[in-house]
Amino acid sequence: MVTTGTDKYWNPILETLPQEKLRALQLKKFQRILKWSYENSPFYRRLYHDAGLEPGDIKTFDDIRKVPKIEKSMLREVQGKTPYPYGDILSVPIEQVVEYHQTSGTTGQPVYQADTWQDWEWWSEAWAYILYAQGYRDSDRVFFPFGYNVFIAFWAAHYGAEKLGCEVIPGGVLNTEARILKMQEVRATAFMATPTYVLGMGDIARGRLGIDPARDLQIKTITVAGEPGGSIPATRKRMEETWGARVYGHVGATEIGAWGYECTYQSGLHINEALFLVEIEDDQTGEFITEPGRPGRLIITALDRTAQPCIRFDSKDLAQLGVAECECGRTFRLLQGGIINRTDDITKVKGVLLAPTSIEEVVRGVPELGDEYEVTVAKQGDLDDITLKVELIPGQENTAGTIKSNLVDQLRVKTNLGYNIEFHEYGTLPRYDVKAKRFKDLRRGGEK
Amino acid sequence: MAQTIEAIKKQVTELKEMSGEVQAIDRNVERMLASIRVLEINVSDLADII
Repeated sequence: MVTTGTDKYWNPILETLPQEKLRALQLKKFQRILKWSYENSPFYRRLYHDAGLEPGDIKTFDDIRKVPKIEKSMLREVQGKTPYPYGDILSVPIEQVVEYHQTSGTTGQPVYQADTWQDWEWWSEAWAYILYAQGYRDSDRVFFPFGYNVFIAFWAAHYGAEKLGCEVIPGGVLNTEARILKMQEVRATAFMATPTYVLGMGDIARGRLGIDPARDLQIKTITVAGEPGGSIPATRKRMEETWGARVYGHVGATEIGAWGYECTYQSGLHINEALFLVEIEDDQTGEFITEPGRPGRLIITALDRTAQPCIRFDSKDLAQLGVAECECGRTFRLLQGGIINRTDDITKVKGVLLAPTSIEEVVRGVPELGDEYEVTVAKQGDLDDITLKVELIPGQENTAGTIKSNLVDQLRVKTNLGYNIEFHEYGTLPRYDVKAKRFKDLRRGGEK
Repeated sequence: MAQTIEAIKKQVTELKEMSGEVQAIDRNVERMLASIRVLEINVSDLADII
């Protein structure tokens, strides 16, 4: 395909808009979503009323910083109430909600997310920007190797790919071997997964199926998300060599939307500044950062999302602006090196956030198990592997089979992850006098 | 383009008003309006800025 001036971009008007005009557009849209939320969401009205703020107070770009931030715990607090299950953050009549999704649940109770048809169109549009920038076109046959369930994962990407005219192949309930064979059978040209799974699939293709992905499959583009691997050069190189394909990163969240992406120049994550406002705040001082190369916490607003608005959401992600402009010609600012880290100690395993408290909640809810347990995350080849060690209380040894099955099911529901379960003799797991150290991350050669 | 999008939106809204609440029309109009909103995001929202 010949790339000309306009077919380089999904929307050449917005993607090459000068920065000062992007700022004007963002201010106009921020004022609109703020007013919408104030008038239609009791949650936001309460939040702003308590802060002594009214939508009319936001007159300049700098005024935006007067608006209170929100965070995940606030969303958890409000949900489960009327209108059920979203609570009064909902800004449309519940009858208008057509899509339910949720966060992975690995940092605690999953956050529910309501979308109307309008919002769902917006989601897929955000993905259309991403995929077009990464070279996807209507000639692509895109395979989706993820479990299509309540977690948002690549759901909107599926519809974004359709919007581009791609042929979309859902690989939902297939196991890894079957997914690889199906990709080979249909001659898929692209797929999306976490970096861990991209490498893991390569491992399984070679080791169990005798397939060399770079030689025997026709994948030319891979979009990754959920882990920083797409922005780590060594990991990217390994993925690209394994699959003989170009690998591009993307960043998003259930509560926010798909807000950032790499283009084919791979020079950092572009912020989609037409649909999102991303502010960078010094994690220590709270000062707002506009200069390149200085890391800060990302505060993100989805400028057009209406059913469950996301205004100044503290993503707890750390990133920094890039120094150079991207050669692609997009004026959307770049985050150099992608997402650097998170501000809390939640650990990413298999691409989803894992909070050890979620595991504890499950283990301690099983009366046949003792108080102590241990979780170990290690690499088996390129895949993360989680082992949960538990103890049956004396006299309960014959229940091991049932308990194991229950644990696997409950942990899957609670954390969206699979576990190896090991039973240890009662009293043999480490005991602690003060602070326990039950979570051991061995993936980087040490313990976390 | 912004004017054309506005005209389409007006026509589609009129279609819903004359549907007599026939679901086969109303629900498809809702989908059309959702797509029109995305056109507004891509085009019309910029009209007074560029």
